[in-house]
Amino acid sequence: MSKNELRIIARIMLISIGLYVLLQTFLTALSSIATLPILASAQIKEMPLIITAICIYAVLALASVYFLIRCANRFSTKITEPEPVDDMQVSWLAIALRLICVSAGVLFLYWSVPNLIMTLYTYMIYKPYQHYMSPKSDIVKYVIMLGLSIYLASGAPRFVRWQVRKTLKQCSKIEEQQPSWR
Amino acid sequence: MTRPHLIARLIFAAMGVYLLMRFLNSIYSAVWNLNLKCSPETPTWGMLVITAGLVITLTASLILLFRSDWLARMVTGPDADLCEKVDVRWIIAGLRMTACLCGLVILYWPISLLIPAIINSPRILFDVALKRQEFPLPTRTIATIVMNTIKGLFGIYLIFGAPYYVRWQMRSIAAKTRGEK
Repeated sequence: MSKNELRIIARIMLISIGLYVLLQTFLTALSSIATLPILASAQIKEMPLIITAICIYAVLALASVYFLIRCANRFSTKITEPEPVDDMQVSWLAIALRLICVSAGVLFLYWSVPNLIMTLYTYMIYKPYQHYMSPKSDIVKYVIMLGLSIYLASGAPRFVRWQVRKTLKQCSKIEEQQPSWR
Repeated sequence: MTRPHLIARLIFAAMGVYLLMRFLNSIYSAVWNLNLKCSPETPTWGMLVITAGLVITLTASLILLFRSDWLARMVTGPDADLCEKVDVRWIIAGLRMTACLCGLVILYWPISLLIPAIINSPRILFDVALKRQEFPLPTRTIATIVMNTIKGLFGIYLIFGAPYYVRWQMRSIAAKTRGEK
């Protein structure tokens, strides 16, 4: 598989994730808008804050989708930068694993960032009642997930190197057991 | 094995993992929703339908994971046999990469549920010691922790590249190749 083909696959994956985020944002915004009249009739004190949170979420999600689709070309070139190895097959394996990690990282970011914002927001609103709730553990959870997401989205270099090493080891072991496959 | 066969098998393996996760989730919700303890109130047909659903899901996932060869051949058609055979390294790498992707996606949810459980465990133990919290913990809490631990361990095994599964697959492919010769 050529480098160009790999770059196209990377582009397809990034744009697919962007479209998935866009669809999910649209559905979430739709359900939020549907519940707004109910909340308005209940005359909730924090109504302006709720509307602000929905707007922030929508703007953040749309900005990240725009960024993902607009810069897909640049990202895909970065992901498919060749590894400093001579063997093309090893390089291909590393690039494919990196692509998997970046895709998982972007998905994790999408799953954890809105939740982190929401938890922080809940923490601020319900500060007087925090004895009954434990948003601190949720904040710690999302911060850990955010760290993990950023590591994966940056290509998880150590993990990829480790996985390539293990894969090659397993390949050579199996080839030793089945010499006819060589 | 040709490239179309390999791609089909990898997709089926990923689907098998997905179905296995659905199976685990279904067991959890079935046990909880049917509340098996009070069986006289539980409709028998409901139990039967849920059990049938569980059996079908598990069978489908096992077929997709371990016996997807015939399915791959059926989906790819006879033309796929004419394609060039792939190197054994591609099969191993493909299986390991699929496992890695599935593991990463699976691991997100158990981690995000187990981290608060670990953080809150000293407080819960303290509450149990002061008799502010009932002991043993509610069935639902225990079931959630057990289910997520199983999922987490499964996800970690997949991230490690599912070495035993890959070895088993390679052995079965080797046996099949020898049979064809």
